[in-house]
Amino acid sequence: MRTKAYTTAIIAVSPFLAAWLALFLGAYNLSPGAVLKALYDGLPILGSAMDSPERAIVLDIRVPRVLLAGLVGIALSVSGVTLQGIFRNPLVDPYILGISAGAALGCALSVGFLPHLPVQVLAFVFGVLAVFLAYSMAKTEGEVSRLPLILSGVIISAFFMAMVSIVKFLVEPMKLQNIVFWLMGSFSLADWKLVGIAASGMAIGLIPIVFMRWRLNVMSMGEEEARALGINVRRDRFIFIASATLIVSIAVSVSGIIGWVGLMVPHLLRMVVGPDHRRLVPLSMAGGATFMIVADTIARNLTNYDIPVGIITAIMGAPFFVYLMKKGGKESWGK
Amino acid sequence: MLQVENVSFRHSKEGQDIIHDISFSAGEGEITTVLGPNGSGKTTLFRCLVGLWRPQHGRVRFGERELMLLSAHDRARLIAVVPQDHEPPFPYTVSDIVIMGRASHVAMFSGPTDRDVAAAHHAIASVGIEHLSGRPYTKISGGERQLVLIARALAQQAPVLILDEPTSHLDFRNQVLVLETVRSIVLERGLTALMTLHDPNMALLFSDQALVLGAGRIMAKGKPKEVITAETLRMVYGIEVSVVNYNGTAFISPKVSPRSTGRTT
Repeated sequence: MRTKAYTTAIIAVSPFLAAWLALFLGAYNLSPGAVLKALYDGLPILGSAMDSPERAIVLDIRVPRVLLAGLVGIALSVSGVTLQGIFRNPLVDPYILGISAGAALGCALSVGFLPHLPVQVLAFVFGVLAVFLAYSMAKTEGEVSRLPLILSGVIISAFFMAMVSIVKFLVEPMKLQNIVFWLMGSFSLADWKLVGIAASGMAIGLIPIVFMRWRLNVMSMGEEEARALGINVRRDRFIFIASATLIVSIAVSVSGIIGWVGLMVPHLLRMVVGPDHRRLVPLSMAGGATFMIVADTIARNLTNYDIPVGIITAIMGAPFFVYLMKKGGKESWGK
Repeated sequence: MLQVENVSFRHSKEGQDIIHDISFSAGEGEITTVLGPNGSGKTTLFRCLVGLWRPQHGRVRFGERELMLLSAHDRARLIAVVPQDHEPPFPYTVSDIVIMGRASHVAMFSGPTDRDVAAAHHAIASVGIEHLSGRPYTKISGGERQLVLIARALAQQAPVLILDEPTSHLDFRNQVLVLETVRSIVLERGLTALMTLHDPNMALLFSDQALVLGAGRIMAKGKPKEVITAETLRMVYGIEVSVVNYNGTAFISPKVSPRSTGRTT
């Protein structure tokens, strides 16, 4: 019990630690002293208003980038944990269910043809469409079993990504370049405006999930049992899925498709702190933020280029999925 | 008093009634047992009672309240269900599972309060499984799981308790243990309990009222000894049994053809 409390505390503070360290690393070599000075200068009242290149790098590039990575990490892992609970399936996440692909199509359509509409609107609409399609395809006789749900997610993903290709084919070259780069999943475009959009949009989806998180325990027992225990399953399931889809759509709209995070983070945390969503949801927020900040720091420091972080998470995620499949054995594929 | 009045259910308009014109009442502090072969409509009856399926005819009342008209939330405050043994997708601890029984008492945008935790502890203690409360539900025995599910139903603090074949996966000792626990709790709390069983001997030992279902109709109801007889069992199960009375207790024994008359080697 004691060690569990320590682990919980460590996970809870880890994003702050990771964010702090990430500020000192970057393509432009800054001494720790210069970073600290720039941060101090950025403080209201105490700091100075003097402009300097160091200040611009730290305050306008590194800080928003770290914040955005943290927010997207929170979004992806919380939506993963929510979808896993609702669908009673530890092998799903927004990427596998096709929500990310749906949101990507919405964004691509927006960028390509509707430049005046905020990309988040179509991202959400198509994200909802994707999860609705995956869910109804997998549903047979009122039950959603594990393997069919994953298969229909794969189908939906493939279909929406093909639609994205059509959009890419049709748009003008400048826009094409934007779409292609953004689809790879990266935080290189991070600025304060994107941080603001991400924070406010995600808050709307995160609030119901955080406050209703205990109900995920009850709902993961199955529809009939949850109803017998007094839960309005249809209403609550709708709230959870819509909220999870909203935060994923926002994440996709600011950083493209970053897969596997929603699968890996909740899984690792479940092994450490157990499956109770009262703890698991808040710790997934912390763990997801840490994971994403670390992955992005690796992505921008590993080489002289800014590698899209989506590539890094996919390189880690695919083997992880295989490991889960092998470990779970038959159970993972049954009902 | 739980009153079931003329309940009939069919899946589609054209189909046959799966249960037909079921009426009975179950009293406080009593166990009413439903017996009947597979496919006789026991499960259908229970699904209608707990509101998963809506019967085309009849009604179910508890006191003044009409159960069919209640929301899931209100119904869960009147009826607690003990499902058959099952495996959840995540390894929740025993106390996590029991506290789920408080779902109808917890407000939508919050979690269980200290009062809910206390109710769960109390329920765990009253079935005698305090030593299990921190263990993963997926790593305990079938008999222990059944006790956990009973504790969860008790944490719900509903006056009606419905148990769906609580002994079906249990060994002999655990069957007796689970049913004894149910009986003492029903008496102590004055619950109205309804359960299905397969073993007529267990029904004779542990029920105050028995109901025999055959082909979706009630074939007999009343005191267990008067209902569970050689004739009714032959009628619904189609096998010959003898009833043995010993020290005032009746036992059912199927008549089995002697071994020697079978194959010869």
